[in-house]
Amino acid sequence: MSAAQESLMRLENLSVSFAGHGHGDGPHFRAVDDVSLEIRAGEVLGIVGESGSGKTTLAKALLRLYRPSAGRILYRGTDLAPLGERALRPFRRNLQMVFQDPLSSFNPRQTVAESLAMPLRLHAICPRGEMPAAVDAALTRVGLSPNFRDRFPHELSGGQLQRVAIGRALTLSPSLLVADEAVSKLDVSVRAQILNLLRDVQEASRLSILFITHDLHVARYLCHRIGVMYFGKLVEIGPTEEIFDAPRHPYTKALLGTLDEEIAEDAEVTAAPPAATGCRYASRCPHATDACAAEHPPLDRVAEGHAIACYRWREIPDA
Amino acid sequence: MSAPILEIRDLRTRFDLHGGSLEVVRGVDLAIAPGEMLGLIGESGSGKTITGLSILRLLPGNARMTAATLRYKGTDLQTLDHRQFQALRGRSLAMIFQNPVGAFNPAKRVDWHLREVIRRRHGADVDWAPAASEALKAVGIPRPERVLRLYPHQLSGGMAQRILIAMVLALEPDLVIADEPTTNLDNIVERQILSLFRRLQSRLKAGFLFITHDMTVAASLCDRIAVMYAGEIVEIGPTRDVFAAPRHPYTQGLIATAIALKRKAKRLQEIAGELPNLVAPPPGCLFSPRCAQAMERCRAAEPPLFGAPQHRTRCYLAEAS
Repeated sequence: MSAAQESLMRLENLSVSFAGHGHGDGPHFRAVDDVSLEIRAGEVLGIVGESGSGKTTLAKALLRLYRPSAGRILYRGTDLAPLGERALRPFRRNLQMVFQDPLSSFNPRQTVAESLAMPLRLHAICPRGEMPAAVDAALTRVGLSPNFRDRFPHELSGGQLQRVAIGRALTLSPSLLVADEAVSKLDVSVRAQILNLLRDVQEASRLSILFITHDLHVARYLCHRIGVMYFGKLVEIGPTEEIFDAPRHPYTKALLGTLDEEIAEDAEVTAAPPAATGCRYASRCPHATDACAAEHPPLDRVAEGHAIACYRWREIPDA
Repeated sequence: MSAPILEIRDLRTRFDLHGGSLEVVRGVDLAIAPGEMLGLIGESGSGKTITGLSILRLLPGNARMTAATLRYKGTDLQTLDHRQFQALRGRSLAMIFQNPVGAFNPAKRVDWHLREVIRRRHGADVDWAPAASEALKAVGIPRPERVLRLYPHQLSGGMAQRILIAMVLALEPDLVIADEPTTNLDNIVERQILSLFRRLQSRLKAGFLFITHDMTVAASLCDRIAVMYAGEIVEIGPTRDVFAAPRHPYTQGLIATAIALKRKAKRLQEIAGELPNLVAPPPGCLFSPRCAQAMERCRAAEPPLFGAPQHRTRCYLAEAS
């Protein structure tokens, strides 16, 4: 992967707010808070973070399944943020998604062939006579026999369905595939098959993938770059090897520290809610000072393509 | 080894379907000693959750369970009537579920749940409030007074799981069945919850059945592990032995995948194929259609468990060893 890759999508100061219910969170809850990042052509960008960190909201906002409350979503130079449904339609075929639960992402009354043909029909890009061949090609591409054509979703296993979901997303030759925890619900023995499949299709078609996961090992296997989110904020982003070998942000260090650690009976187990003001991580951070409580730090460049949001990274010793 | 807390032989559970019936637990044998953590590993559909629910009589209405032996501390659980079993469950037998929020009464605050548990354990006139705060502090909740006033929907997944563990701690049961208790949590919270299980284990001296699909979690937590495939235990033994020298090709595949992900392998080793359809199970060994080492005899007859009692394997390849 070269640093000079062309940019496919650029998020600028993106925020997504939801109306709160008044349980102490105030009127609005900012699920994604002032996030800027770039997705390059032909790369797999991983977004890792705990549940509630805003990674799924980020993905849905950049696909314009949510309307952002602030910021820009630049797709090859066009800002998608203010566009209405009709204006978005030509962009939709380029931006596809695979969800966590494959069974609920299919119409239970449609056969596999009907599901696979639907995007081609909606975008009117395949003559009717060529549809069966296109469906067979989509199945073959994801390692399924054309015999699956007439089956219904409930007749397929989770792994087979996730293959069909990937096949369906690829029928329109998108430039970006968003995979939201796409292997989390799969059986362990099937997960490896789907990870290998994603890697194969990505390499074959130079597709960009935004890969959202809470599993660090899975992220390392598939992603070229990784962004780490914490309570709506992007706290670190950089090349996968750097994130794993030389993490800078205290949260990233803590996340990676869990990977090889023994489970100790006397380990620190205190739950700490995020800080209401200032750096979101300050309440859990061993390096926090008064300055951290004032305002959340901006993303600071620490190396080529590697940025973190921390006031104190220069003073914190390497792990 | 002291007398087991739980002893199961030939546990079978089948579901009545309109087309017939489906046996999803197909003859499980296991025993758990006091203070022991037994990991039950399997994929979805392997029957591991149904095994746990069968023990606690929490099966849905269309399920039928039979067992040659189902003994808790020497008592045959199958002879107990509903009322007698109810007195045991939620008192001496506890369960922790994957979805912690769903295990709470959504209309009651956290304090109500802890009060119920503490009174159940120590009687109705006990001063429950200090015990509730103590239990919450023990699971890493810094300001228990605040959390006691919250409703379940106001809790994060990790917080809800902590509170459930606090309830189990207050209950002091003899047997805890935990079904994927960390699956929905992120790595940091998962490690914390696993540490809490370690604490539970050392404080309670209870027996634990820890159900998980995650080989690495089981390896770091459990004393022994049992690997389930398609309703059967295919390998059971001390964690160290199973990891150092797995004998069943399925166990070998699971461990290889887990290690490859950890070591950033160039390409992940796959286990070909999918779980068998138990409506029409394959002949012989249920894993044979996916097994690279399958022989003719594997497709002819199902292998029994081979090996010394402490490490047994349902595979003809383990017959000689």
